[in-house]
Amino acid sequence: MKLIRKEDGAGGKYMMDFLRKHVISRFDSKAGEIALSELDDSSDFNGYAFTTDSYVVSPPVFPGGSIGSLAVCGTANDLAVMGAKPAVMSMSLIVQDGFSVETLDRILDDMAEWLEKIDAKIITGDTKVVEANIGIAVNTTGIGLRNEHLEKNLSIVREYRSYPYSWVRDRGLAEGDAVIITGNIAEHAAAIMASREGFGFELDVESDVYPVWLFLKNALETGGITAMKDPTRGGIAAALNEIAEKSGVGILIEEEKIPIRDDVKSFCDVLGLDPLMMANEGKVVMGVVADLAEEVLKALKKAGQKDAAIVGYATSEFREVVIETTIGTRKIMPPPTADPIPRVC
Amino acid sequence: MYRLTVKGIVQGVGFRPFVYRLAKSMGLKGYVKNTGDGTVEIIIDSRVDEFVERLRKEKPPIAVVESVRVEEVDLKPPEDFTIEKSGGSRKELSLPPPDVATCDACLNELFNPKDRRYLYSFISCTDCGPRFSVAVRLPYDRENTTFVDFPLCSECSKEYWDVEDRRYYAQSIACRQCGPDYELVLGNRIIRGLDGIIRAAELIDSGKIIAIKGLGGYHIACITDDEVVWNLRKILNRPQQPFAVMARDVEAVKRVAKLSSEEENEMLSYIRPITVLRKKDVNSFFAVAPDLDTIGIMLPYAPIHHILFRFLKADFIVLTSANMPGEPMFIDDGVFSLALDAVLRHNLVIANRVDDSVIKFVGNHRMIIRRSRGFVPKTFSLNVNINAIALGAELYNSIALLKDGKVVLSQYIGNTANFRTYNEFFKKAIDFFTSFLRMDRINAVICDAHPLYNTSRFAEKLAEDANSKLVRVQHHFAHGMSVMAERGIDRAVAIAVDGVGYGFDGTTWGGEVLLIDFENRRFERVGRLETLELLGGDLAVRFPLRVLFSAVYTEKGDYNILEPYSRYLRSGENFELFAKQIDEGLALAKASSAGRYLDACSAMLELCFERTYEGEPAMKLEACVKEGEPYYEPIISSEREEAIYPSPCITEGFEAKTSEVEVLRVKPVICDALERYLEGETKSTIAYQVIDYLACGLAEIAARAARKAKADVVMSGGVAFNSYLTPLVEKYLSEKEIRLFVNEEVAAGDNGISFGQIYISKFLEELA
Ligand SMILES: [Fe+3]
Ligand SMILES: [Mg+2]
Ligand SMILES: [Zn+2]
Ligand SMILES: [Zn+2]
Repeated sequence: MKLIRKEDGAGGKYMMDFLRKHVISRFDSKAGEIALSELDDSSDFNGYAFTTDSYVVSPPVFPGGSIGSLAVCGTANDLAVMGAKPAVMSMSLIVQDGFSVETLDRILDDMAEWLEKIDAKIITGDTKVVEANIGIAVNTTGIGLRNEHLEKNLSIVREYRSYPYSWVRDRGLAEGDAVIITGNIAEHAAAIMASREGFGFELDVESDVYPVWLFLKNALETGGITAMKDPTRGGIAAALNEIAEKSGVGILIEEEKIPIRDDVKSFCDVLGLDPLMMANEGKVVMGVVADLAEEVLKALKKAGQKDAAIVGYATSEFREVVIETTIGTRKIMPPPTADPIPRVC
Repeated sequence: MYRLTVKGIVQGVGFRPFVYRLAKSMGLKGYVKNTGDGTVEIIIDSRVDEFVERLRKEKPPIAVVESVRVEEVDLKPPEDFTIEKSGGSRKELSLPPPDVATCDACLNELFNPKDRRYLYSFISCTDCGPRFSVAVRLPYDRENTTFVDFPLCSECSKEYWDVEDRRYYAQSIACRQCGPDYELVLGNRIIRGLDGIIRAAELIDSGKIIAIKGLGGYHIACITDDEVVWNLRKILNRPQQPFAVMARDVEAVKRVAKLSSEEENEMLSYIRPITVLRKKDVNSFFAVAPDLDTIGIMLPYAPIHHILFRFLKADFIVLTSANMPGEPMFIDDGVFSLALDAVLRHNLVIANRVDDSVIKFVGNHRMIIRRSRGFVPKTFSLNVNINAIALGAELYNSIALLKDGKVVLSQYIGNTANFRTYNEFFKKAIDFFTSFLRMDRINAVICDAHPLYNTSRFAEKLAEDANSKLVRVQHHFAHGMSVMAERGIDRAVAIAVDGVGYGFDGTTWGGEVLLIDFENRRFERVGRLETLELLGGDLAVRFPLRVLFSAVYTEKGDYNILEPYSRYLRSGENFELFAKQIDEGLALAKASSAGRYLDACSAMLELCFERTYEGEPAMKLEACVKEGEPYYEPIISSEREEAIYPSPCITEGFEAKTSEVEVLRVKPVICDALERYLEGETKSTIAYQVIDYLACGLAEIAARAARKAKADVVMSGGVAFNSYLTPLVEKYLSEKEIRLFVNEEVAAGDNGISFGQIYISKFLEELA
């Protein structure tokens, strides 16, 4: 008998295979420009962007946030990286019998706080209490709106080349585009691991959970963004590989330009974790028309993303994501096969 | 009249001129010609038995006569003996010969002041010179090699067309007037020809580091003095990995290393491989081979080496391929990006990069560590009528191609995890060999079971594009099959010992006893080493103290005994954290790996705490052995787990069955040896005992399985190069009257794994 494996949901290569075989084979459908099978961050219908995501994380409250902040920011971010402004959401709670009400309140407070900051609303929801040993799971579904920042970005991109999409798509990267990472990587996963009970790592890092729309609108206003993903599960390795594969170009990254805090880096080094494969919850990986990359970078920094950096370029010399180390050797950055860290997000 | 059909390596090796001269000397009439299918056809009028005997005995050095078919034919005897034009269509594989070391006849001319090729660096003849490295396409004729850039002068042309000349039809023929030549780039000066070579020799003697373009790529050369070599290590970012040395002659070799007559023969063969020899004084050549009791030495093989040594004072020079670790050897100007003192280069294009081959005698076996120059592209027979290509694993890679019942194994490609090696060498080798062999249709693409290897991912694409069957062979089954393919056997018990390979259960394997039985279609993991926890996955491979720690902690439940090792921890690490990581199961990989077991022992004996090159901890462990006595008895437990597989490949809907697996415990031995070491037992004693334990344990498990299956035992994998392990396994098996076969024609390490993979072609229909 075939059973579901952990890897089938880990956001990597196995999950892709699993989805193609079992899901997309049944529902390869679309209502607007973007088909389910394209596996973009959101899909669209009638000019709206539309996405859904479920959240499970242990512990549910962690340094820098909670499953509540994840549930709002995560779904808002999947809309934002299409260029859509997050507008309304549904919320569905599945809570284990005996879960602390105090913790639940804290989680809901976090949700309310972030919704207010991004000017979005939860307008429908559902709650179930179950016996299963899950703690808490949250699902949010979100709808995003077209907006003047998106339109401006698209028109600027089209001054440089044809861009036949009405959203910022994973497949939009082209040869020569600069690749930007908007801030220090691996902090969400590192914070969760360091905070796990019994560990006592001396690492003072908080989750980076944050609604990226708050700075993306400035970057879009500057214009020139051709592709975007939020590097959550599987980290920037997964995001970059998806962009490269869907766009049909290679990406060359310089290792030393990847923004990461020293202490996070040595934390990963001591444990044997690869920060490139670790989850982020408030960062964006984007492609930008080369001529506009410095401008967009400036806009991001001005909007508070002071560690944002141009980390590499798209190339047609090869089709892989290749990372050049400080000593000049090059290696392929493969898409992760499975979550390298057990259930951090 | 008689018609002789000669099969073997008989084209492009000076075979026809040889036949011509032989027939003429015997006064025979008739002709010789190359047929389109790779054989040579000879017609003679008499004395056929004597002719065939001399044909076999006196053939050119690299020609291989597999068979001679004789039939009587009714033809009118011609007036004379002639060489006829090649004819027929090309059906069978006909590859260029391998590159051949300069022959004695050419050496005599090279150092004869009256000869017109006196000290000319591209002297060669029908019997020697560059072959594969200059071949662009088939057939192997001058216009299809990179020598096409050098039209023959009238004197060379005379030799080339003169049937009586020893350079008749030699494609690599050249002279100072018409051929390629060397020049030395020194700062912004260029010194051409012999003067440049003489200056290069002076520079090397004075302690400078220079690049030398050779037959198959660039080398870097310098004297073997410690100070110079440490400096070279800095430039190449190779802190510890041993460098190959070229010695002036056999006498020089004998002064510094123990040399058996078998080793001497290998070193002097036309392949001239780097031969790993035992140092006479362990402390000699320290910077060249730090903390090792062996040194890899080769003898001059190209005219440039002979000329250099004529002018060098030194009897030994470091001669290592010019590349950054993991990257392909430079074959063009890229070498200038290194901080070297000068570049000695020539203007002949290298069509195919070929590294120096490396061999080592392990017990009585000549084992190949790196199969490249001189070996490639010799073919192997595998009588299966499909076209297939096997892409190997990751490190030390090669590819294998099957066409017309013959397997061609590519040259050493190297570390395909490195992007340049993957992109500029691996992919190009595939293009080269598939077009060379005219593989218009590929029926099967074969790769490793590891989903993340670049080679596996490439295989997926290749299979899709070529619309061919994709076959993923489990790594250690492929190792075992590489010996089975050499022997042509279909049933064996395989001991596969290495560092890492992707197992059927998704964990890392590397210390396996497998039943590989195509006759009865049984594929079983009958035994394995106890699982070790790799703390931080690949990090534990790099820092072997982590493996030692997890072995001790998981066996004893505490780590107090490791206190003396805390000074070897890196900054940020502490044992408490290690313990927590194990308790939480955080970033842990599991491995049943002989390599990791030896790594842990190497750290235990304070021999190696950071692996800077493949196999370093285990090699340093081996180096500290002198001799010893067995001490540990095998501790074998039986565990019920998934172990019976429908095939050696991972297939769709794959289902394994459970069975009793014999597990050789290693943790108790690690813990006990650790205690004894801390109580004062010597390193060399313990090093021997832990290797002996592995040998007798694996032999015990393999022997039981071999008796049950009535099979011979084969052994392969990178750890099989261990000078003690393989002979000990052989000894323990022979005490039980069981035969052991190891790799002799291809590498036992991952350099030979593509050969094991391609063997699956023989069984694809049955397995389907
Ligand atoms: Fe291996
Ligand atoms: Mg997303
Ligand atoms: Zn010769
Ligand atoms: Zn000439």
